[in-house]
Amino acid sequence: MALSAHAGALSEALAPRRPSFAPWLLAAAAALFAVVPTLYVVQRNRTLHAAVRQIDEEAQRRAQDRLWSGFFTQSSGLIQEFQKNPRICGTQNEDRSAERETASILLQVSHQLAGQGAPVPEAEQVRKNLQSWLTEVSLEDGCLSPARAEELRQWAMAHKLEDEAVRMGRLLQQEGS
Amino acid sequence: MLLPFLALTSPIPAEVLVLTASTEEPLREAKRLRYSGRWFEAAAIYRTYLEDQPNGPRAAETRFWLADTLFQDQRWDEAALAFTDFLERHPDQRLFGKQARLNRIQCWGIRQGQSPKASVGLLEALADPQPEIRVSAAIQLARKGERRAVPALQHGLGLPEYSEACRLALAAMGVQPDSQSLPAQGRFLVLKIKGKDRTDEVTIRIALGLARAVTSYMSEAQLTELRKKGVDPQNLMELALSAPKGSELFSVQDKDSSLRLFVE
Repeated sequence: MALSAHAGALSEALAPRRPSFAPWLLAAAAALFAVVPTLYVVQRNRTLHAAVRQIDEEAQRRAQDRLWSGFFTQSSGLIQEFQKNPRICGTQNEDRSAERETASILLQVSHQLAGQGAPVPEAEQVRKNLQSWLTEVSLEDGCLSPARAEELRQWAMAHKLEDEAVRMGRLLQQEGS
Repeated sequence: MLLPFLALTSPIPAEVLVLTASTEEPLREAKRLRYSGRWFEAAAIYRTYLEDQPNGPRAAETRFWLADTLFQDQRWDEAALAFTDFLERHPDQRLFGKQARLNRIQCWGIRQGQSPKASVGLLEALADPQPEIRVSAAIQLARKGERRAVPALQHGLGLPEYSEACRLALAAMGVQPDSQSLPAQGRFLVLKIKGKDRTDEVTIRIALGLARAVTSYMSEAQLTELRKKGVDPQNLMELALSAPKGSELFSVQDKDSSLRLFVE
């Protein structure tokens, strides 16, 4: 009788119960299933983006160094050309029309480089010196008097333009390798 | 002493005789000073010459060299004004004129942000009729992140001699090159780069019109390998145009990475 009086309470207490942690565990597991791959993808994308950014930055630095290096190498080549015996034009004048053409192109490049900023500080000073010389050559007549041609050669020599251009060209080629 | 005699006996106009004697000497001296880097003294001689003969037969080139001397002396504001003076007085000087415009842009480029006239000058140059002047001004403005330079830079991508500089300027501003103004519009090169220490391959797409940019993703060792394979790095666009879509153009590697290039 006494037991039956407590039957309701006992049956409730003794009834098989579902584990009470199941709903939140299932929810957590489901969340994990959804979140972990998403996080992985996000993280992987971030890593890839960072890698692309790093590669892009490296490529830009390299491109800039190569533009500068190319300018110096071609300028030194032009100065060397200017020292060689040229064809004759007019009455014993020097035919420097090809050199004049090259100087005009290099002058254009020099203006572009001035806008970009130099990869190393001394490159800017060498560029400026070369630009002065290139300006003189490009504004001259293609058929130069020997005296004027000699004047331009002397100027290049006095300012060691060729040596400096070669040195900077090599230095920046190494930087951009 | 010789000049009056020559004026009487030769058919050479008196103006030319004046030019060859008294006029030439100060200009020669100014040039000599310029060549030895004595800019201040050279500028003074040019100024005196122009005060004496503002419309003389060599006034145009003297004005140019005065401005250029100030430019060499890094007197940027004075130089910009002197180039402007030259351009206004001698609008018919095409060769010197182009150089004067480009040098003036350099002056303004150095002074932008410090002198209001410099920034205004550069912005005005964006409307210059000559494309190289517009692009040069845009490259200078891009250094300060000026967004108004973007259209001129995008246009410059289509000018072969300015393409690479414009691409770099746009990249520095974080702007994607617009392939609309490029040749081979709508076609792309796909670079697949894999670092030695990486598991993932990085993919980079470049407009075919900017094919030259591909070489900047390659080291000197990779470029050497490419040349050994008989591929001219300067001629990638032609190579890509002649290849079917989806094909691999080449692959190269060095100690740090491997690179494959596809045409799309």
